[in-house]
Amino acid sequence: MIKHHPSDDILVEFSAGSLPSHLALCVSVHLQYCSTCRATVSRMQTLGGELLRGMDGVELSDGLFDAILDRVELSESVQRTQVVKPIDLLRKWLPDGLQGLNWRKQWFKLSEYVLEVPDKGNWRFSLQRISAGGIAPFHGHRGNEVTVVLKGGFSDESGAYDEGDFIIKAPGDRHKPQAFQNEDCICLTYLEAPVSLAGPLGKWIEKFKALFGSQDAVPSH
Amino acid sequence: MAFSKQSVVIPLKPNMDLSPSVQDDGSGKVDEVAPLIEAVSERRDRSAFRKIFDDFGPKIKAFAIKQGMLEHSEELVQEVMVNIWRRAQQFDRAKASGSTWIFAITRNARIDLLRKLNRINNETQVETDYLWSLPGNDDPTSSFQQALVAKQIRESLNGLPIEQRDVIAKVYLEDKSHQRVADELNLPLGTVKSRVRLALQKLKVVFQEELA
Ligand SMILES: [Zn+2]
Repeated sequence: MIKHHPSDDILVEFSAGSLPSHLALCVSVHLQYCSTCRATVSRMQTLGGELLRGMDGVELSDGLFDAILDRVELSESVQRTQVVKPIDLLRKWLPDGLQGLNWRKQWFKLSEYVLEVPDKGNWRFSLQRISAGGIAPFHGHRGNEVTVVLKGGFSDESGAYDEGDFIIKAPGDRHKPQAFQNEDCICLTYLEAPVSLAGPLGKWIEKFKALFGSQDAVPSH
Repeated sequence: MAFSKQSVVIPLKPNMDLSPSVQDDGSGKVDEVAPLIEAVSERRDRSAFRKIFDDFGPKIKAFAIKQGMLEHSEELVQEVMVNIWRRAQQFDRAKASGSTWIFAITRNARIDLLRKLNRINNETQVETDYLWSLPGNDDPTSSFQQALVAKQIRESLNGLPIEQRDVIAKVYLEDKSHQRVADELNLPLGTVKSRVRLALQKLKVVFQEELA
């Protein structure tokens, strides 16, 4: 059962099409699991439709309709038959789903598979895996961290999260996730800025990383 | 509410199960746009297409201008109309009212146009129609109910206090995040968020307590 949803603010911006695209992708993945948010977004889009309909129009150029007719005569109609599954949304990066990924170990029980990182800037779009029962290091964030649970589940200081749950940790929220005992937990994660490890050991590791530059991000496709 | 892990969202309905003319449940009287889209779908009806263009074209142009796309505003109208023609068979009035469907197409066409013009940063590689799909509602919603929800929202919009209507319009029609609306109106972010929230509650788009 889904217990953790995007806030209404996020759903509104999603419905209006103004959400940054990676965040929108995380919301889309959540929507595949969550009928409650689907119903909300459906009403929010209905509102969008009514606002559009209520606008005062601006006069159009004379030849516009004919130009459109010329184009539609050439165009094929679209019939989409595919059903989108959560993993399908990510198929650009995960053609075989979650199978056979080359996970990169981050910490004892924590691994990462990078989906996309920018040429410039420091956001990070990736899968995170915590092995069954494993604990990820206590960490805080410099930016928002958006997580959607794809498989298994985890718990932290503020709750337990199951498949489909959507979690945003704000900058400054520190937490220590632990995967459920029975299976590995795989999450989709969008980090607006890199995680900073908290605690004295974390600080030491950050320094170490800065010295030896292990910010090795592998762009994948 | 029934929850099923198997329930998945079809971004745009592949094919109508019923011929729309069979669904004569009166929703066409509440939603006069839906029969026009269906006429385009079933008969490639050009006069219905023209009617949609006359109704929505000028509004879509106004929408584009509000989005700061003045020089591309009629290009957006073209894209939306071509998509309406091409995708008419995917329209399903049990999933969305006519204007909701056109809104979703307009929003997606706008994103695609901005992508084409390279005006969006940090773009993912996922196609717009997947990313911004129209999830619909899986409750066994009838087309009549969809039309009714739209009508109810339309009517209660008129009763909104001006400052609530204002922020809602900015968030939806001007591509502004809550933060940008707050900056523009010189209001605290919390005030903008609570105005949006109050408006959504009055419109029965969201219900009293926030899911968390
Ligand atoms: Zn939800």
